[in-house]
Amino acid sequence: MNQAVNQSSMRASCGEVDTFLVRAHGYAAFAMLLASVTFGILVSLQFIFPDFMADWLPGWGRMRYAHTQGIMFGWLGNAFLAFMYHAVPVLSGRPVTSRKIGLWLFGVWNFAVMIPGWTLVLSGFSQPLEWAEFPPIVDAFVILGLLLAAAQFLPPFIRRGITDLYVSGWYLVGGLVFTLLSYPMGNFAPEVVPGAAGAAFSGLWIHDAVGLFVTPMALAILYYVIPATTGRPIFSHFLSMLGFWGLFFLYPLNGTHHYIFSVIPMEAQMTAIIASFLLGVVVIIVVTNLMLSQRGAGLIPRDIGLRFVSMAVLFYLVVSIQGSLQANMSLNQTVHFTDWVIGHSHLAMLGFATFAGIGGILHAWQRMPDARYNARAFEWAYGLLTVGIWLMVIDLTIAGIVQGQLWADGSPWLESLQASRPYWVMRSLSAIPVAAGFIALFVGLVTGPRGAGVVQINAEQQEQAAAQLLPEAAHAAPSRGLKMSYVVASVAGVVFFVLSVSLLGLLPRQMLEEQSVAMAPGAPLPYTPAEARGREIYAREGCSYCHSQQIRYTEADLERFGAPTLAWEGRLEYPHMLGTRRIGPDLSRAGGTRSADWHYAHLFAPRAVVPQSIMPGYPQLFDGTATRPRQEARDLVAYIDSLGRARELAYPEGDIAARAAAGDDDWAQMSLNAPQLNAHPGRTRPRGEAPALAANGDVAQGTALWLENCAGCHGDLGQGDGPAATWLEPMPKNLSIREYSRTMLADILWNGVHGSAMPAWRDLDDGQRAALAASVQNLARVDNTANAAQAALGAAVYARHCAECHGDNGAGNGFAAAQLPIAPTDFRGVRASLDERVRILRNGVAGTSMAPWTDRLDDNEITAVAHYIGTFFQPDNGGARP
Amino acid sequence: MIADIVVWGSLICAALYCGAWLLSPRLREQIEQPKHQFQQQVQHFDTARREAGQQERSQS
Repeated sequence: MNQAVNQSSMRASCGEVDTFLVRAHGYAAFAMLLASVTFGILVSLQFIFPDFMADWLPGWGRMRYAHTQGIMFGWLGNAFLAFMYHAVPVLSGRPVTSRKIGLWLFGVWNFAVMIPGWTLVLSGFSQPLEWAEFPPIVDAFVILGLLLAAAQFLPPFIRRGITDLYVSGWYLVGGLVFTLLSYPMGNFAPEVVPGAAGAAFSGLWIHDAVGLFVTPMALAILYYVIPATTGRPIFSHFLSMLGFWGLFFLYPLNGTHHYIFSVIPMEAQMTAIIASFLLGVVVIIVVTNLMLSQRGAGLIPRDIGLRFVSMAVLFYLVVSIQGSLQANMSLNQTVHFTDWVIGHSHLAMLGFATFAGIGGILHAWQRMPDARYNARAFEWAYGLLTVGIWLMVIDLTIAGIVQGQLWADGSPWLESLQASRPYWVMRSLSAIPVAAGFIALFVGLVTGPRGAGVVQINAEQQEQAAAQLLPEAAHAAPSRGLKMSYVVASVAGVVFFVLSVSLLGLLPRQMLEEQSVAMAPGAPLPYTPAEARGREIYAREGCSYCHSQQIRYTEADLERFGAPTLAWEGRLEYPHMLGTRRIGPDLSRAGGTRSADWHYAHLFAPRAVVPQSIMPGYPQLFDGTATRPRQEARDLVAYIDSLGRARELAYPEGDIAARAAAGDDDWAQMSLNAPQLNAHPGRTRPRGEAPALAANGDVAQGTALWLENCAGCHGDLGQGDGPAATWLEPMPKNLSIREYSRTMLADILWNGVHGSAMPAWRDLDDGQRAALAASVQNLARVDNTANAAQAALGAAVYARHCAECHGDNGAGNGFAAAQLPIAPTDFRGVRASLDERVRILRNGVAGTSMAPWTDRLDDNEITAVAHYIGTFFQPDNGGARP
Repeated sequence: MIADIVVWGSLICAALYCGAWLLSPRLREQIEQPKHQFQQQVQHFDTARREAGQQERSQS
């Protein structure tokens, strides 16, 4: 009797699948997928051609925001909703709540979340948080959408009763409930909890977005489509439920593994690492069950929906094992921040979740009697997408290993960019089959005969299913014990979620606050209004996608960037910008590292300053040239120049006090005892000791290094006429009319020219610097024939006017030298041509304290002193620092 | 310590679940019941859809 009633309600529900809403969300999903993929392709192309359509596009970071949010909400959100409209009536035996809610949900999801969200982030209104890029106003509509989805899809399950619910139903219910719980936490908490403590909440959301939203929905599809297509029940419902509870218990506890080696307390990091490994075990159980459930379907199933789902299972296995491995500290040390992680996220979102989503939509589409269905197009789509996504993921994974190795061995940053280039080219090429595959899918949905899908439903398998009798015991109502166990498990699931927020969010917040109070200087150093405005610009342009602001507690970071970031350094950061990827170097201690004019030139035209750079330019922040920065450019540079300032000002006295407070906190001590607070290789320092350079530098190697690193400012031939030359003050030196001693070059390459745009080059090894020095010496074309009589006359003029800055012996150490922002030239180490010396004496050097002398010296005196200055030069061993 | 709680909590929950499954044949059948019910639901649904498709084709 009961069975008859059930069957009656099942038949009723069959007619009550709202195909209009399946179709609406299906079309919206694919339209948004194509747009999101377009954003992704443009982003990837700008890795190879950084100026590609730069005048027309909204900016790299903004498109990256649009890409990730589009994939998660626009594509996957709509795809999952389309599938739920098909699956919920079948799983629950009841229709969804109402068409009216459905229309509201469709409207909110697409016209209050996606379209405004994209418009806002592309216009510069965003939140600089991974997987939470839409601004908070849009978040409110996401939550409204999730509430509408809950109102639409949960009541049928509640009315039916959930104690004997099929696993797909459990995943749909769990996904809706837990996403509602975690979304506000991940999107709003970092706005009110600063720095690393806020990052702890971000980490939770980054993982919950995948683990509590995407994965449950995708697994619901896999568990649905496999038995529905093969005609055989899944291998084990027991294992499926074990996996379900395992995932919901453990996923929320993984989040902090996005910030391993950060200042977040080790206890929280270890919890996430352990949970990640346990999760790997659970995933293996889930995948084993899913694979056994496909037995007999063949390695490449005939049904196209099942084929996509089958590949999704494989993607899920690989991405989950990869995820567990990434939490391993030794691997994490190398691959974190690299393209390995980008490959991993593409495997999760474009591989596993997308293939599941496609499988779900195709399964539903096939069962709509009036829907167009072009099986041939779907076959093409499957082949193209499979090839494209594997190619992309393998390529990015290898790229990540290469990048990680180069960073670990201390190679110059630009080497990692150069080494990455072929992989980035391959990544963009892999987008061709991916994009073609998605287009083929869309074509398949809108072409082909109407109802062609229904015809292809495998009747033979369905008959097999009909022949299978429901086991006798299965007709009985679930026992009280089983009902109770599900209730207990449901409560435990919520408890584990609360546990995750408490242990990995609230507790670290408390500990980090305590650490901040103990170690921070008494008075916080807030941003000036200009710096605060600059921070907003930095956030809106997505700078934190490429530049992290956390120096990790690893040897590689310690050596490359300096003292690892302490908790208090982020105590005013709302929201944090720790970042999860490094394409450019970390900027935690960028303050004081470069001159303002270098920043302006670099922002205006990055490749003019750093020829190998792939940073997007921001000419819109300037009035036509780098020397005319608008307010926004000034604000942005003010912000960049403030990074690390608080720690710098507290150093070293502050660190001495903090060392006592740190006690036996090994990691805090590691930061406080770092050999250098700021180890940025380009940071300029006053003249000082520098490692001596070998005399036999390789000129050919040096020339190559010159073109990569120096030509942007000094020009290819060293004539001080590089593309960025006129934007810098003082202008880059014309090296073709200057002789340098090796000692002087050793000093300049090691310390830079403090106060000017000339950086230090400490990331080049001794051999590279020697080669560069040899090539610089090779540039000089100077005839410095001395005129002894003139020199003798000039000595008196020099003593009267020049020695106070340049020193009696030309060493640049006159009594006034210490007061000057840029040290006076040390004539023992450099000798310009006579004409250049005269020119400088007549015109001065813009941007330095060297003034024109024509108002005080006549032509004869100028010529004489120019001759005299040339006598200081000591080519062999000159330039020894005072 | 927190990691210990997570490890042991998860293992104990899993062990209890597996233990109950091993010790109670009736529970085993009940736990597997939803997959059979689902199979019937899907089969009914597909049958209905095939019939609807045939009607659609015959009308056109």
